[in-house]
Amino acid sequence: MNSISPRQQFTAMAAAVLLLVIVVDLVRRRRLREDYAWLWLCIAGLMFVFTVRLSWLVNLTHALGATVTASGAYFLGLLFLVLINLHFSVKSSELASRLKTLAQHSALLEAELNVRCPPTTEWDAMRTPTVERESG
Amino acid sequence: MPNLESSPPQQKRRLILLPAHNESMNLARVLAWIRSVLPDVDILVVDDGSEDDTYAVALAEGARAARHPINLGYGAAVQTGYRYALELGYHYLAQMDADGQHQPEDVKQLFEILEQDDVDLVIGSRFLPESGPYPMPWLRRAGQAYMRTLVKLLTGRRFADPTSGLQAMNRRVLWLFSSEAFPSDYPDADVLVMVCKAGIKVVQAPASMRTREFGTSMHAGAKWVYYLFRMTLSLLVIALGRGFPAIPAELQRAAIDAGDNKGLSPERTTLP
Repeated sequence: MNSISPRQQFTAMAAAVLLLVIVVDLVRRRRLREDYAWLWLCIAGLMFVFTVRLSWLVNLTHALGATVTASGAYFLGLLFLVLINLHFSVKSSELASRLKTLAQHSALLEAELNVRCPPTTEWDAMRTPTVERESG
Repeated sequence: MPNLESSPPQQKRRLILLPAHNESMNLARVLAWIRSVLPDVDILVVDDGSEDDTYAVALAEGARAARHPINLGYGAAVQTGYRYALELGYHYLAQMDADGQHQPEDVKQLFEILEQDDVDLVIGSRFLPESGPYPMPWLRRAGQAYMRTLVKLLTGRRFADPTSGLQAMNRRVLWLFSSEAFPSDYPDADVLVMVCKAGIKVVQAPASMRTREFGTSMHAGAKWVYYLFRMTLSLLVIALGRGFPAIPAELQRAAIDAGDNKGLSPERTTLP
């Protein structure tokens, strides 16, 4: 079954446009950084293109070895989710590495400060980090 | 960072590093013990985001102390110490556990080997024939054997205790360990493979280890299983490619052997 009804096509198109609007709005309100937004914009754009040019999705489905267009669409969706998870894992590893360097730098600065100006109880209270500690 | 040393200038500057996480119950006793054996060595406690008074105890006992604002892991804690030693111009660093399991007498011996035998890294081993007895559950003993085999396969060398946290090193090793390639959770067998591939001269020395009085080990319970998995993956990554920065020319053994000792001088070393 290689065709979808106009209603299905409209729903998919509306979803793509909605995703596009939400992503742009999140970027505009600075709640989503541009370096994360491009992936979502790409997927929204691809969704829109495939709903307008349905024959492209049909051809892609056949190229993937599937017969039903919906299977091709699901497969692409799944692939996207895997890729975006991988992307987040890489970003999270980068952030963990930067956080480590930052915390080490802070510790070294504090150690230097201790030598230059030995802490009193008051001093130490002031220097105690206010961030919440992770449990476990 | 300025040079804030307290050791006499004519002597090679030595630092003992104690990575600590919730060790306030053990720390004061361990610090006093170290001072009784090695009175002229500086001590740095790296508090890895403890919830107890580890940091306050370290300062109260007169040790140098660096505190992570959050818990980063054992590897990150020792690396903070390496960076401290590198930046503040220490010639040698020895690391030991803050829980009182390692003995300062062994640290003293590691320093002596490091200074006299022209080696870069000395590893205190619990499982050499001269080492004292160290009881270990059979599962962990099997894990140790597995690690030993992997390291032997990858380096051609047999390390009796590939997970030992008792080590002493010079500035060449400090430079390598200060790089981003150094693991932030469990720096053990993978680091051994890394140093062998980087051309670091490593020797093993017998060391005895006591059982801890308070607190729990970082290898306790199911963490040991994760540790084995994580270490295998890490070893494979190092075996497949370099995965660590090349040691600068002035710090390489060839330069030192050719008579240029300036590479190991604190003034010449830059952070990786």
